[in-house]
Amino acid sequence: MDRADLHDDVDKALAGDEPALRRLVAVLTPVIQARVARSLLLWRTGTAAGRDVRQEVDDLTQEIFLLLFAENSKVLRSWQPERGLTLLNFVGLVTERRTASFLRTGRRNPWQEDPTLTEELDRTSPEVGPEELAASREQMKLLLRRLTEELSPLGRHLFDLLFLRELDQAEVVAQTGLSPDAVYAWRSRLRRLVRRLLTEISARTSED
Amino acid sequence: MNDDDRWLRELAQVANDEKLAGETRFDGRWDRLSAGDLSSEEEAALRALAKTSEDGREAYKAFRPLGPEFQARVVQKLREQIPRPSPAPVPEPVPDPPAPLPFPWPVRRISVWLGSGAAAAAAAVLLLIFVPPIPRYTPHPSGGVQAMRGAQSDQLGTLVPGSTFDLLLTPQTAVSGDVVVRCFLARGSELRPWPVPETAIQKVGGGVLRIHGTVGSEIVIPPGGWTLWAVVGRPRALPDAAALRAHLARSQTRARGWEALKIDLKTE
Repeated sequence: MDRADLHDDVDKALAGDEPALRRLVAVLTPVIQARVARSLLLWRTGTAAGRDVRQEVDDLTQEIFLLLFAENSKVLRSWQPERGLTLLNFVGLVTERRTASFLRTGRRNPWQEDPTLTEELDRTSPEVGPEELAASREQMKLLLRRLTEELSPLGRHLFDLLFLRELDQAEVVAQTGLSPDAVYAWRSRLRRLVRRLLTEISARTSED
Repeated sequence: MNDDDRWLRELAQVANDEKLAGETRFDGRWDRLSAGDLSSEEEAALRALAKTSEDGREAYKAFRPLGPEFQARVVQKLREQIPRPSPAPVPEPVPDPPAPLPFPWPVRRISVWLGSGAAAAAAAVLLLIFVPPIPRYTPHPSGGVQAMRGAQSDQLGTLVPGSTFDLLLTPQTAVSGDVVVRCFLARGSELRPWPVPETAIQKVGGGVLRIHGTVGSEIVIPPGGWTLWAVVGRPRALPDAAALRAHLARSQTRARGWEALKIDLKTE
């Protein structure tokens, strides 16, 4: 199915067209399943690792679909192809985020629009020096998991562009269609989010 | 580089390392297994892995296609969740043309007598009589930044640069024919057109319209509190700012062929 057909089917499925919905489910099922499977097999620990993986894959894959279409398909409607994420990548990031949340809490938590955009983020980000935030490799992995859980697909895409691929401002603007101010704002939000999560993880570690 | 960027770059390195480790442990064959796209040799290799190691067995169970029964079950659940358009309504009868005016002169002579300007106004009035009506519409705004974590995510938060704005306009029943939207911003006694780029407006089908974009990019609104009036209707029936102001002054938000939907906004 080419990209234009897929866009078309998304629109039709959102309008309640059942044949389009079937086609969309057929295209997205292996993408979601593979991401769920990979995440569970790589990240499950402790008692979670003892549960039947097939059943968990089935349950979580179904849950991702329900999440995409819940509340008037709010999550699926938040996909903006002009931001540089294909539908399959977008759905893949939604899947990773939800799976990370489930593995950490064991619960099906409500989907958050983008917690990096909440005003509360500023109030709960105290200044902490680097010596207080020294983190082991395991803590960095945990931090990455928390970041995956907290970021929306767009936020994760920007993290990948800015810090994984280390694109400069102009390149990120060109790839996402965001304004330079918006990219700058995202960079600041990502910094504040990492600071908050590091503090959270360090506090939890010192309590252990 | 400040310390936060250093952490972010280290995180990115960890992400990259994890991605490579994941790809080494579960290469592309496993994704193709889920998609049902394996060659017979590849499938045989993965089955052999499943027979010889616990990890392989677990992976085979996890990635094996979920199958058509799973997909049918998902479609069934989604059907219960997605609002479906009502069956195409029987179109409302277009009213018969009004009875000829009891003038002794033919209409052609009327236009000459009235003058072309007045005749154009009369023609516009007649045109409006024949505009097909539209059902009631409901606005569904979402996006922006919620003030409190855990706030209902289907409510509209404060619109800050970089946040998304989504406005879905849904009719009570499916609509045939062209329906468009024209937007206005109001504050106090001010009412002004609010141009939205065509690329930000989507006609979903059945009369459903969607305005979607990024604040500061497609969606540009001056800071402060505003009332957005999204006027949905037939292209030829939509009021301009002056006409809308007059209708709103009479508390009238709906007329033949259009309806004005009110959404309160706050921007920074």
